[in-house]
Amino acid sequence: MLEHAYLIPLLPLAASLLILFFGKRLPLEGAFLGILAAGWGLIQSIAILVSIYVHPELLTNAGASGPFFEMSWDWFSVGFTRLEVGVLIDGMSAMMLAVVTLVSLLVQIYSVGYQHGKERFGRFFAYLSFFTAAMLILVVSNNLFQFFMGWELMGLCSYLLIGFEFERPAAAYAGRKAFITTRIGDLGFYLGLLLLFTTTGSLNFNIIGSEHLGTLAPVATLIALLLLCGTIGKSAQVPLHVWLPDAMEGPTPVSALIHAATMVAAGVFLLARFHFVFALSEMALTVTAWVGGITALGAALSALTATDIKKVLAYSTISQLGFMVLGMGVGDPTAGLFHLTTHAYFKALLFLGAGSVIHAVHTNEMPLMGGLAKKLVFTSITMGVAWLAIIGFPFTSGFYSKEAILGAVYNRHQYVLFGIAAFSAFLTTFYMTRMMILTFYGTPRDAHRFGHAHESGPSMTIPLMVLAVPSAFLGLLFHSHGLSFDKWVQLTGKAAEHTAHAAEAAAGHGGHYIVLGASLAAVSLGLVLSIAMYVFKTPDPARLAAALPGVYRLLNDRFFDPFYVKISEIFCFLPARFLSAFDYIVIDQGAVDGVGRLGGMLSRVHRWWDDVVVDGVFVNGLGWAAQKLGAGVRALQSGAAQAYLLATAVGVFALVLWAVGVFG
Amino acid sequence: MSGLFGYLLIGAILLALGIYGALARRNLLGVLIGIELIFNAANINFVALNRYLHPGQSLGQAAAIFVIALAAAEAVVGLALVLTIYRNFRTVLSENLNLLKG
Repeated sequence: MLEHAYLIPLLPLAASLLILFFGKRLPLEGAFLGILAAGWGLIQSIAILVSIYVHPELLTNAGASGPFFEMSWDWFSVGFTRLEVGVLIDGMSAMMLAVVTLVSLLVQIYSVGYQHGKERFGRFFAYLSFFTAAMLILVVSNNLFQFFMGWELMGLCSYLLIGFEFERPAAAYAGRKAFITTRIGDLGFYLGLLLLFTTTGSLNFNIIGSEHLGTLAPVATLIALLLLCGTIGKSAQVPLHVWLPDAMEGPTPVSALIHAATMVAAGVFLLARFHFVFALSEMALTVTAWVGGITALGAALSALTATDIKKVLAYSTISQLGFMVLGMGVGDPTAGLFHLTTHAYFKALLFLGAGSVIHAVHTNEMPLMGGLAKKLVFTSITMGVAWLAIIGFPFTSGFYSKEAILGAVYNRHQYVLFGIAAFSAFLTTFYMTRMMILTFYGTPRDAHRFGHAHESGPSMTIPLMVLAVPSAFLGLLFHSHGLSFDKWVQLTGKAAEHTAHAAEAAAGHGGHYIVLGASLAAVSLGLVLSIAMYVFKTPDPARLAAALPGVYRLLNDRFFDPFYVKISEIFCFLPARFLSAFDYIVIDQGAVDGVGRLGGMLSRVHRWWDDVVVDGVFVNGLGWAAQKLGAGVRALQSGAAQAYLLATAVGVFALVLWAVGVFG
Repeated sequence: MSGLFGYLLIGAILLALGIYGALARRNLLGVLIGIELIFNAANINFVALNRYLHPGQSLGQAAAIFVIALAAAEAVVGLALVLTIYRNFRTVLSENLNLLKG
């Protein structure tokens, strides 16, 4: 089973190529190929998960990064550096495989209904499969190079899918924005990889993690911060989060895939995969934690006033990613990965549910919805489950994972960050409840849309129901069976120490109850406030917004976008203008025209030479000389035979005189 | 020797007259006659020098005969030319003939 793990990324890759090239001739334009590939991947991933749980000895290598199973093949070599492609299965990647394949499978099944009758139906599935394949390549990668390859392929796919409806300029713009913004982060990531490689001389995670930690230590801070840049771009952390709200221009299933299984998860996975580097640098961990904390809070604030249902979800994703990064930053990658896993399920569910709502009422604007619970029964119930999970309602999956992060933060004595995280959790409860109330509760605010709304078909509702199960019970499953998530995801020795230390500290200080209390308080306060405001209208949110226009504007402000526009003006438009001027003055006028003018001058010199020397001196001059000479000599040839005869006689006479010696 | 000198003198006089005739006569016939005189001056020299310097031999005499034959042929060609020129230009005066003028 483990030996054939390479099939998991390769099958979706093959499926995407088949759909791309032969899709038109296949039923459903080949969409079933992608679904089959993801389905196979899911079965195999679950089999791997179960088998490594039942038989831990299958993970044959016991490296510093915990037990793992590794297979690799040489790809090519450059000098003495062998580049390999490989499969690395450990608890972390096995868990991610299951998450990615399940979400991808459900998103594809859902898309059959959602994209029905839309333009480029087959191509959509080709892209989805390619996206999945890229993420899986990254997840199973055992070396930096392959990891980066999957990473960049995902950047491409996000561009293709966010800009899928490229006929709309906003979608095309959003695609470009996502690509370019994440690319800025990727630059840092790439530099980090290069530095990591030049420092250790190896590309293999386990070789670096087990043999080169010593050589790595002096530059670990720099490397870790550079790698963090990649996460900031890909996982939409402050300050490069700006692409994600715009990415809502993509079709809703794409949002579900990007926000749950691929793309943004990659950034968090990166932090987990490279945790052994981060663990070497206290400073890098602190920066990571603060980036995560600020992102969690800022995005939650932005979500408060958004009226577009997908924008709310987008900001909530950024906020939850902030939580995960925060978990990573306080040195507890298992907590971060746990939240990543549970978040993948409930966020995919939320997006697919939102897609179902949008499909029914043909608008993203929540002010035009309301009361939809009556019409969209399955959608509202399943989204309700996801809502409970994301706000961290007790015994849902989100409750456990969020608490794990809060606990990790608390146990590291980061009390400011703990306050930020707890407050963000409160805000999360508030805005998610607001979203649910505005969408499903109350009286319909747009009777026409409400009248035409109807529940989506089974290809869309079944994925919702399937996703509701792990959203509700995943956390319970882990806890009720006494399985700590750590058992699945064993990380570096140092990280494990951190975790053990943290657990010890928690037990010693009774911190567990404070964390639990904070998280329960956040949920209940958020619920109460949100219900009071949006159900009972006390205080009325509309009047509140009118009373505090400054606050309302501040919450709606996008802060960074105008700043980036300025930045791009400074760094792109100014150089562009300079280069344009340079082009005009130096290249066009200087070089091109100069060469032209020089050519003109040279040809005038040449013409003078031709006229005067060649034609004048040689051609005409020779003719003239011959003429003059001829005229001179012609006088001799009088034509009078007797003159010739006289000359002959004189000549002979002279010769005779000479012969007889008259001249000496 | 006085006999030889006389002949050579006559030859020289004939040569001078011949050259003068060939150069100075305006009529082409006169020019031809002058040339004949030059031939005969040469003949006298051949014969006289042979008779006085190499009495036993006769090569000089033979040369004279040869020159006479040559002169006859020359006269034929020359007269034919004069006749043709006359037919074409209606004149035999040399100053009117400058076809070769460049």
